[in-house]
Amino acid sequence: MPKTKSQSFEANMTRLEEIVHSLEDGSVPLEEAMKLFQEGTALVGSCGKLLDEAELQIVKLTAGPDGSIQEVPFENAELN
Amino acid sequence: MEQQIFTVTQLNNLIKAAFDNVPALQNVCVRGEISNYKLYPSGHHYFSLKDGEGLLRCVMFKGNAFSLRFKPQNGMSVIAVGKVSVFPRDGAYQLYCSRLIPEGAGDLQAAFDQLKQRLFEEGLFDRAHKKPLPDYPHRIGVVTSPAGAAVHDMLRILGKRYPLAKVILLPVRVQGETAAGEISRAIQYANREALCDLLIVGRGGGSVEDLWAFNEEPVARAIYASRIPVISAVGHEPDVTISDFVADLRAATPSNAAELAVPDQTELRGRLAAVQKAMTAALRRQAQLARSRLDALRACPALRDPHSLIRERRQTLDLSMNSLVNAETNLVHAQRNRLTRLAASLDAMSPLKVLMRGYATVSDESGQLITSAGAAAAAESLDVSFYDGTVRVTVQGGSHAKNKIPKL
Repeated sequence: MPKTKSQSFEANMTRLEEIVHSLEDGSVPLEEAMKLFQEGTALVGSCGKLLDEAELQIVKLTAGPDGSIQEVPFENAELN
Repeated sequence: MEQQIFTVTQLNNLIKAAFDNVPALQNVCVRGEISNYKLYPSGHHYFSLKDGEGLLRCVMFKGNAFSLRFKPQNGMSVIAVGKVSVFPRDGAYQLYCSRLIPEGAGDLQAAFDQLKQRLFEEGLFDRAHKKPLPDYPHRIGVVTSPAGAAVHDMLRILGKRYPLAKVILLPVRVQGETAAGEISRAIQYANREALCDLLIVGRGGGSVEDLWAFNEEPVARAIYASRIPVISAVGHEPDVTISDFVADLRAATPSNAAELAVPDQTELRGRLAAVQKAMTAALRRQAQLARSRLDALRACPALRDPHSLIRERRQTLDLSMNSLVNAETNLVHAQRNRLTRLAASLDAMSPLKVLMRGYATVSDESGQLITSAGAAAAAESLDVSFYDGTVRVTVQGGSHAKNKIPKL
């Protein structure tokens, strides 16, 4: 199963929470704190980018000719 | 004979006149179950009465509704009193209801109550069984009709709030005989295939009958058995179904389900901005901390005035030197004293002093010291040394008499 954007987003958010925690804890040395800050800033950027570029993926399940269930794209036009 | 051609209004009025001429329709009592009930802001109540086979449109105007002692609800069995007439605008006949009398709960309501009680006792509604919803759903399975406003609203809201997710639509019929089976099978399929990490099961608004599939036991059991968390999203806010009780979360409407299912990207962007701010503040705080430590180090004398260290050591050295010199001086002094004392002692024992007291030494011509009269008698001349000089004397005999020489 390919990794969804949502999974990347969640992983980034989890990592960001860790980073903020470490930074606010103040227990990491300054040099490492700067590395964490850079990593965090990059993650904030990529999270924003994920949101900017995302488009809801919609598929519909249908039974194929042989009875097996398939994913087919769900056109918004079908809604109207 | 030419066929008369009516306008629609003329015909509707003709039909209305026909209805109004039937005395039996002017004051009727009819028993049925309320459905499609709607109270308009105008204060008029619109609903249908139905039994197993038929349906009768009803209206109760505001003036008559004042006499109502209960709140009409869908599924409620009532006896309605009024007259039947035609509403020409719609070309439809309806019961103009003047009184409404409740008559115990309707069949559907009874079935609902019974199933609800049974499943409650079985523990299907237990809070402990409710599963938490994922914070960031990756794949959202939507079990609903692929046609209609409900799915459209859900997709629109999901896309607007959290476009990172993937929606998998499991199209089912949501009303009719087969609906409950299709809905429960779709839920089971999603679980068997691990299709998604969140399920929304529901449909848009409708009559109690329209929503009935969500009051059926197979659907309730499929939701209960689902390992994937389920949001129940049936009808409008006031509609409550068995599915709502069993589901992990009850949404008031399908749109509300979409809102509850995913985080809002506006809020997420706000959180990201807050994270950035918090990180910046934390780093700044840490940098300030480091700076103040650095300042404290800078302020310490070793770094502020490195020469002071040398000066201090030089001073120490000077002091040591001083002590050393002092020590040496003292030592020399002490030795000198000792020397003086020794010299004094020595001086006291000096032969010169003895000579000055009247003694003299005697030596032969070769300078050999003569210490006895015998040795002196044997020599021809002797040198007699006084304290201030020496004289040569000639020996003229002598005796061996031993004179006691007094001790010094």
